[in-house]
Amino acid sequence: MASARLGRVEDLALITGAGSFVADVRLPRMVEMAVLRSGVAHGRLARLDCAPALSLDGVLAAVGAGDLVGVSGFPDFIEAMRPIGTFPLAVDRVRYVGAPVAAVVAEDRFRAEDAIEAIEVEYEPLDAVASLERALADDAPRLYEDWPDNKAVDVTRRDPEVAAILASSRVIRASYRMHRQAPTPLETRGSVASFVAGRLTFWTSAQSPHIVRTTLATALGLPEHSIRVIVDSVGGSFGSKTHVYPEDVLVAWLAMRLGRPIRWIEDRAEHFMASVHARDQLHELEAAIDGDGRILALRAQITCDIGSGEVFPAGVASSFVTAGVLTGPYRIPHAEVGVTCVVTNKTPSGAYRGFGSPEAVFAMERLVERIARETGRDAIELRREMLLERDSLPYRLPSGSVVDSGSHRECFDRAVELGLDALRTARTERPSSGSTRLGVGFATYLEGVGASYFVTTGNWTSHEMCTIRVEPDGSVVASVGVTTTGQGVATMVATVVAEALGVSRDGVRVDMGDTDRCPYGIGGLGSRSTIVASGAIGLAASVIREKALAIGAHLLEAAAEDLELVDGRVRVRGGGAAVSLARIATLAWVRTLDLPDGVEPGLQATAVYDAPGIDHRPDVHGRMNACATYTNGSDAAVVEVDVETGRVEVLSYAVVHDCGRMINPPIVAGQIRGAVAQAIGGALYEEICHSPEGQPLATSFMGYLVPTSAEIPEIVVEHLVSPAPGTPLGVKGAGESGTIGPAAAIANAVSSALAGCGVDVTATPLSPSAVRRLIRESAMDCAPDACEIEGAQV
Amino acid sequence: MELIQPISWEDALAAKAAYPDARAIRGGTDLMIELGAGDRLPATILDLGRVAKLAEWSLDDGHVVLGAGVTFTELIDELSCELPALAMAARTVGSPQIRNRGTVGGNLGTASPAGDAHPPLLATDAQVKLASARGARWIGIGELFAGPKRTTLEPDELIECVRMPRASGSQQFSKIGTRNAMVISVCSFALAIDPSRRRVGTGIGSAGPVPLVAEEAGRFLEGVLTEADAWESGAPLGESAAARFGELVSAAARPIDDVRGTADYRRHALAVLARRALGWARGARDELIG
Repeated sequence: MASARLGRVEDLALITGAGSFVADVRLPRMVEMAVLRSGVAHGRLARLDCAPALSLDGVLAAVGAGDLVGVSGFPDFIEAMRPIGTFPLAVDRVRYVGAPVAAVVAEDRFRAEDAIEAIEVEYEPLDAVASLERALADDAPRLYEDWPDNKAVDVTRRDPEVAAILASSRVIRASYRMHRQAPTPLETRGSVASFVAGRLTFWTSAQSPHIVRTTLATALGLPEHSIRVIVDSVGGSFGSKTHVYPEDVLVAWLAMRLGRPIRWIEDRAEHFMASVHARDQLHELEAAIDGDGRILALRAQITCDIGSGEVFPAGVASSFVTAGVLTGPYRIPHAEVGVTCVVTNKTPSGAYRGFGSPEAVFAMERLVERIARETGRDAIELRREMLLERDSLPYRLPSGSVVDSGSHRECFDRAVELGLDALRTARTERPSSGSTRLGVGFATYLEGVGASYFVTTGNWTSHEMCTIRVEPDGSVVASVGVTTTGQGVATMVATVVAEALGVSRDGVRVDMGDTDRCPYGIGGLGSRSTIVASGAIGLAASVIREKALAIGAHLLEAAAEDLELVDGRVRVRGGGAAVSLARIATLAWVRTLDLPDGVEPGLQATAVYDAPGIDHRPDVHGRMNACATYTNGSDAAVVEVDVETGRVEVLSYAVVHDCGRMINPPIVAGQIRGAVAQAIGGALYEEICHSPEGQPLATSFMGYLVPTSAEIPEIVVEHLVSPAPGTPLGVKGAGESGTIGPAAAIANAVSSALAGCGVDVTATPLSPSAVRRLIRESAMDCAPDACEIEGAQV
Repeated sequence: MELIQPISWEDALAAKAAYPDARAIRGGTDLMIELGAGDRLPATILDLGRVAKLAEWSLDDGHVVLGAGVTFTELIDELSCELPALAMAARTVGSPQIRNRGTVGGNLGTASPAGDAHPPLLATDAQVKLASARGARWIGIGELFAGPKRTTLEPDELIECVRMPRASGSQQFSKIGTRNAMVISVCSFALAIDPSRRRVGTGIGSAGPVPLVAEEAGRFLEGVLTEADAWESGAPLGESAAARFGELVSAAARPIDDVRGTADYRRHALAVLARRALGWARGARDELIG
């Protein structure tokens, strides 16, 4: 595209300090909310007395669950899940440290926090369920007394042939565990509510303003037209702000009751306890293989620890995604996959960039390496024999996902080249000392993008809307339902609109994140915005183009079929007479007297787009194609492992990526680099851990170690382009894919570096302590001299 | 809350005598984090930031006297030759902003088992001057730590300065943190070889309730250096001596399992750090002394 290399349209405001984040919203007479949170992981709420807080100077309200008159709990829509009935404040039980118990409003945050301490609360402690394994134990305490166990979800997609194939083949079994992580956006959550003349205005940091509006309307019993949700600048989210949280309802309800604007900004300690976690999942795999190690059938049990589940929506759907893409870009004819989501006394889990895919790829790519080792095959060759080739597309995975397009084999081959080159360079630049080993690891993946939101929420599906208006002077406004949390979505929208209408990108203003101004949208999530927004933009733009050509034909006294809309003008094809879009728009809105007969005033159009071929529910066999299309990629990591200290350093990282046609390649590359950095953090440094009593042990950035620039190597990104056949511009999604490969590629690289020691990585994170334990527990002697520098597969 | 900001050291000591519960603050890199994390506000804060004398250091008869208010950045910029291990430790503290604010005295006063300055101060046999309105006393650095985040200071005492010999031989500091920087150490180790006194000092951090000295390891290495007549020569000591030194350092640790690492890992890693520190110390010897 012509403007593909221009900078981002959103940057001027952000770099000049003109961005407006929710914490920047300051309203006259605004007061602050603070939340009393449970300090115990599991307990009965024996006593709650807010009166002592109310008596303090400057305190306007102090409420518990019983005070929330007229508030409904969050609805449970997900069909495969047991209802939880989450209420904004603890009713009779607390189920995680950080659970909201009471809310206070005071003149400022300082007074509000002091008042929180004055509230009298007593818990009768209950035994905590602090791990997935404990949740499944027969004698485990139950979080929800009316449930027979702690399983929120327990479903299996059957394949009757899998058992027979497993019985008649060589079977490789393995279990892979990914640890609990947190999305940790730089900007925490926050909301400001103002209730004036019966209308609620709600500023928040969210990915789906319309879903916030609909959910607030239900929770508060307000007509939806009485609520305006505004999402302006957002400082990152990574999935965490797709959810609607208890505090959102509390801020809105208290603003309505008190008649004063109320603000709540989550602090970082709260964020670690009260915003969603993710990835805490176990994968038990059994693969039937042929004589060459190729997988004939796979049986998998996926078990996810979703914490208490008390968030809207509860975090079960990422496990469905794991099940959907588990077989990856491989030709594996049969798979039977069970998904169990257990509740535990931890912070509710939810959406995190990658959403079940990093977990799937970690498990699958480790399994392929294990099969290669046990069958004496080269893992690279084994992958090549199983990878989808272009001539096998479209390919229906056992899950029902239809892989429509992609460059699975080419991406992998190129990543292997880059990885081996990088290993050679590393050997020259970092010759091994006595204790360091070099290793290279690969991962290949596909990612469903533009997914049905029904799977995640039990409502909504996959559509998106756009309104384009050409103003009288020819400038253009595009209002969209997708949103941005910093990715550059406005740049994407402006670029697509500009191309579709033949105007300059600067001539397009993008309007998003305001439910009063923008059409009802699902929002910016699930690597969908480019697909769905460009689809809706294309449809709306074609209506405008047709009308502009009709008016142009009248002005130019030419036939509309002989005209084209380019460079801001309607002109006769091949050059010649032309009239500016500005003049046409002036006619449409202002000089309406001059419009040709039969042409209505106005130059705007609204369109809705829904990508074809998406299933929202599984068929009778449990199969479904939940996504608009499939992005693919392959990663190569080179690591240096110090076998004495267990320290892993990622020396180089390469991604070969294919998201179809790209609107703005630098933005795509930036998304991939950022996502890789985030996932390197997840693979090596970041861990949300709990004591056996369910107490969180990482509640600040001192304990939760996100990577710094010192940990992230240069990330090489190369693009291949396999346009999606089913999307209007051939585009796919790119916001999440960078997070998918690193855990697998780094684990494979560490295993390769330590192949001489017989180390088999089956869990993340690969902290120094964990790597040392692997070395110590390995069967083979890992004295420095015993280890070969060569990676097993090179 | 009351805030006291004395200008002179005498006023500071008087204030501490009058308000023995007052929490002293200088750079604020520990106390402000505690307050930010929701800890109870102390009734009185004694801000030592205006006491100019604390920010000074001087040389005295082969020793360095380091005011409690000397920052990590100043240590790095001004004392890398005189106090190499301490300067190395200072380089690993936090971020540039933290190093600009954080002080040696604050590190000692907080008495975290993970305080980065502690192992080098232990390894160099630093003396700490504790002052009060009643007078002053010197104690060995090892006597300062009473337990995790607890010191043996009397309620009316403040840390005035530390004093340790200027390096006459090789010194090393190494630490393991899960991440490269801005991280609380999993464990750390400092080594100071002092040929002029025929003394090997050690210090272990993050592997016990208080920072520890590996005394047996130090004595062992002193014996090896003497036997090999290698105090001055810098001759290699051999793998087995290095390994034994590592084992003895590891044995001196009293670690626990926590979020950052297990006790087993810490013991193992300390042996590695100690062996490596010794290797670096011998390799670096000629440059430093030469």
